Order: sequence, then C-alpha cells, then structure tokens
Amino acid sequence: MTERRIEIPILTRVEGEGALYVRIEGERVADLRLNIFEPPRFFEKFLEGRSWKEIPDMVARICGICPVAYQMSAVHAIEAAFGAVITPEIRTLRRLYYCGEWLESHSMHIHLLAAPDFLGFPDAMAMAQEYPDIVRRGLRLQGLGNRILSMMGGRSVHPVGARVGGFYHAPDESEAREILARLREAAQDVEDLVRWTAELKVPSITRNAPFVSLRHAHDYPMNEGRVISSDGLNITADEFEDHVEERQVSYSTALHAHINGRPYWVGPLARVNNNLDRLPEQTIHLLKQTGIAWPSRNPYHSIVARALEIHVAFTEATTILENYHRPEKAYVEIEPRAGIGMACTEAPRGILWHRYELDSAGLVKTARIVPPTSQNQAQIEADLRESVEEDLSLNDAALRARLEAGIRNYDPCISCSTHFLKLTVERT
Amino acid sequence: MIRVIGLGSPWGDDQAGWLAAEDLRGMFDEEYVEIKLLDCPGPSLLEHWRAEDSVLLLDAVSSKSEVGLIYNLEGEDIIYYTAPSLSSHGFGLAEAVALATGLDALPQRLCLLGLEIGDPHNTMALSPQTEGSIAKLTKAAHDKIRRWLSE
Repeated sequence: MTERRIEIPILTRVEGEGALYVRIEGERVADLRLNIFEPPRFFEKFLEGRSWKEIPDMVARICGICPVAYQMSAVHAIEAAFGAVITPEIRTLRRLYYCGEWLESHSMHIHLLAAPDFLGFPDAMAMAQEYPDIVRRGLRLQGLGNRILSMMGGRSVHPVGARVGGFYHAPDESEAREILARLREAAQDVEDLVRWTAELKVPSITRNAPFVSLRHAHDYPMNEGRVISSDGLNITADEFEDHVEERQVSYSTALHAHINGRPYWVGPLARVNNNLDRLPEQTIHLLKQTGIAWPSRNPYHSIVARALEIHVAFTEATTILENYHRPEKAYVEIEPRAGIGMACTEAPRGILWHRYELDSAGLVKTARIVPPTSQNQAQIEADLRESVEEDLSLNDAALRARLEAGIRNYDPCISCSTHFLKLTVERT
Repeated sequence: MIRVIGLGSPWGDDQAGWLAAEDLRGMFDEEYVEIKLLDCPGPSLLEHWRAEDSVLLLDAVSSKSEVGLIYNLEGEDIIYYTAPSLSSHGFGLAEAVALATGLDALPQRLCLLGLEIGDPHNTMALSPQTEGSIAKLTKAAHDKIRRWLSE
C-alpha cells in the first residue's frame, strides 16, 4: 500500500499558530490533524477575581479582529446574572456596534485573506498588484467598519466604549451623520462585492454537518436569539452546556466541540442558511442574483455568505443612523448580585458563548468561554478528510493549497480558541 | 503634513513607540506635525496617511541586539528588514507596507524608527532598560522631524 504524507507546517493567512498533518494510505485518509500549537492564554483564569466593571475591557483583548463579540457576549451574560434589563435604544446601539465589527472583519477576510486563494496569489500583497481595485474596495469597507467601531468604542482595535448596561457614551449626532454619509457612498461597493464573490470559481462540494447559529424572533441574529441547528436543536444559551461537549485532543491546545457526539459548523454560512427568512429585503434581492441554491452546503460559499452579511450590516447600520437621536443616557444602572449568567452572540466567525459566576460584590468566581473556532475545529477536520479523498489526484503542492483554502473557508481565529492547559501528572 | 505614528500597546516594553510619540507632543506645531498612537492597526495603517505626507513610525523592535539600539528603516526597506508578523491574522507592519507598495499608496516619505527592546517580556510593566532608552528614540524622532521640516 502506498503511503503519502502532506504537511503544512505553518498555516498562513489565519490568526494564530497552527499546522496540518495528513497521512494517506492508498485512497484513504489514515490520519488528519489540525494541529494548533499556539500556547494557551488562560483568559478565563485571568478573569477570576475581577470586577464585573473590568470584564468588557479585558475580554476585548482576546481578539484584535472580533473584540465586539467578546464584549457583547460578556455584557449580556453578566446582565443575565444581575437581572439587568437594557433599553431598546441601547439594544439598537449594540446592533450598530456589531454591524461595525462584521463590516471590518468580513471585509478583511474576504479581500486580504481568502481572495488570494480564489484568484491564485500567495497573498494579498501580490494580489494587490494585479487587482488593486479589489483590494482598495476591501480596505474602504474595512475602514468603514473601523469607523463605526471607533465611534462606539473609542477606538477600532480593542475598543473600550462598551460596559455592562450599555455604553459609556452615545455617539454625537454630528459624528453619526458623518458615518451615515460614508455608508451611503459605500452602497455600490457593497452590492458589487456580493456579485463579485458569487462569480468566483469554486469547487463543487457538499458537506453534511449541522449548521448551528442563533435565531431571533424577527431580526437577523447578532446579540440575541436561541441557539438552533439545521437538524432540529433549539435551545437557550442557558442550555448550551447541556448539549455541547468540549473534548481535548492530544495534538491541539484548542478544544474540539461536538453536539450530540457530532462535529458541527458555525459562522456566516451557518447563519445565512439558518436565517434566510431574517435577511433584509434588499439582501434577499441580492442573494437571489447569486445563482446559488440556498441553503448551501458548500464551504466555499462561505465567502458569499460573508459578503451577504456585509450587506446586512451595511443595510442595518444605515437604517439605524438614519433614525438616530442621541439618547439621554447610554447605559442602565447596574446593581451587582450573586448569580450565574450565560449568553451567546454571533461573532463574525460564529456563535460565541460565555458563562460567568459572580459573587454578591460582582466579582467573577468562574468564567467559561467557548469561541467559534474551537466549535468549528472538529468540522474543519471532517471537511478536510473529505477534501483529501476527493482530491487524491492532485499533486502534493496543489493538494496543500486546496487544504489551506479549505481551512480558510472557516476563517479560523486560532488565538481566540487556544485556552486549555495540557497537564501531565506523574505520580511516584 | 508630517504624521508621527506610535505603534504598540499599553503593556510592557511594547509601550516604547507610544511613549516616545507622547514625549513629542507639544514640541512641534500641530498644524504641521500630527501625533497619534495605534494598537495593532494591521492593514488599516494605510488609512492613516496620504500620498503627500511624511510618515514617521515609532515602534519597539526585538532582534536580540543591545537594548536601546535605534534602527532607522526607510520606505520599502521596512518590508525586508522586519519579520513576518504574528499580529492579528498575520498582518503587521511589514505586510501593511508591502500592501501599500503594491497599491502604489506609500506616502511621500516613510521612515520607521525602532527601539531595540531585547527579549520581549510578558509583563505589564516597562523594563528599566527600555524605560532608560525611550529618550533616545524620542531624540531620534525629534531630529528626523526637524530635518523633514527644514527640507
């Protein structure tokens, strides 16, 4: 029997440090490991003993690309523990904040990380020389997302404006008008982006893992909703721990998550598939022009789903800012009390679940964070196993490129996902 | 316009670029010299300059050389003499400058002044060695700005 080994020692165009190892025996994958070797970061442990007031700023440091998601899951979970209820105005501002993050994160991923795979370049720097207008569009849209984040969070990277109960300050109406004008200027970019991603040539493949996302009663999900799956799961964030099992694997510092013993799939494609009837009317119009049969089970359509979500964020941010009046107060008063709170929000890469146990002074006793990349990790491996067997005729270099692109379909954020400590105990 | 951009974070020796940039505040007319601090800007660094600008980047550098050494890298040299980044999604200073080069979007003048910090320490506080070297970075930046203003 012939044996073939494919190794990608360092994954590029993903956040964090990981590698891929594949051993093929004959026409079968004998072993495949997405090896995440980035050191664990112990964030959950850092949070213990800290005041509820500090948590939003601390968790914003977990990720430079999706700090809003960490802040939003944290504030919702702590508000649940304290029994706090926010106002409709604060809810709207939080959605605007999330729109900024989706715009920023998805634009960066599409143009600078994923597009080189589809257009045959080693990286965005090389691609910029032949497709400068495409890259410039990405930078414009990313900049627009960053501008919204700066307005809400004080700065676009590791923002500090969010607090439990709302925001420290609501944006000035003049600043809101300035951003609204920039959004209106970006309308053509956003529509062009959806059409451009839909025209990219992609492999025709199908993967059958369940799609897991939030689902809200009437909105496209961002901050709230039930956790649902395409095969019938329908639970609250409080029930998440009863259904999701995290397992250690020897070769990864990130945990593998399963629901009912199966890998599952979170992120933009899962969200779009599970919430087709929650998309804004204008986005549905664009979706129908993609020529894709939705819901799609092709992971290469993740780039189209990201573009559609940029359109969702653009549409919603525009509507919010058109109707914006600065609220008198951007937060509700918070009274800490002992309790446990859980919340799940939709990070750009998929559902992000937080659980906090707090004492009567509002100090964190325990924290648990389940990020989207660790939820996707088992599914990424399952997807790649099928890819290897489908593409055995490719030479090693081409197969390596195909598998790297396959990983990037999930836009893994390895730094977010590495937080378990491998502990060896020897007893004598 | 001369734009001075301190790169770094509030933690440990990574503060060096921010502290030197802060020290420059008040030394020059704000009409001609803008000072700002950025934390992991990645590709959005390109939003912070225009083609006609002179841009001075101040950053901590770790190349295991003597602490306090000042590096002066001009234009595209920044791409070749700085290591591939470990920052967000592998998109750091070298990649941002390479992207600007590919897009023909470099500013008129671009210079990185780096302060060698030795082995980066994972602590919240500035090390005494780096703290004692910040003034050298500030002076090098001050001299560069004066030269640009006089040209």
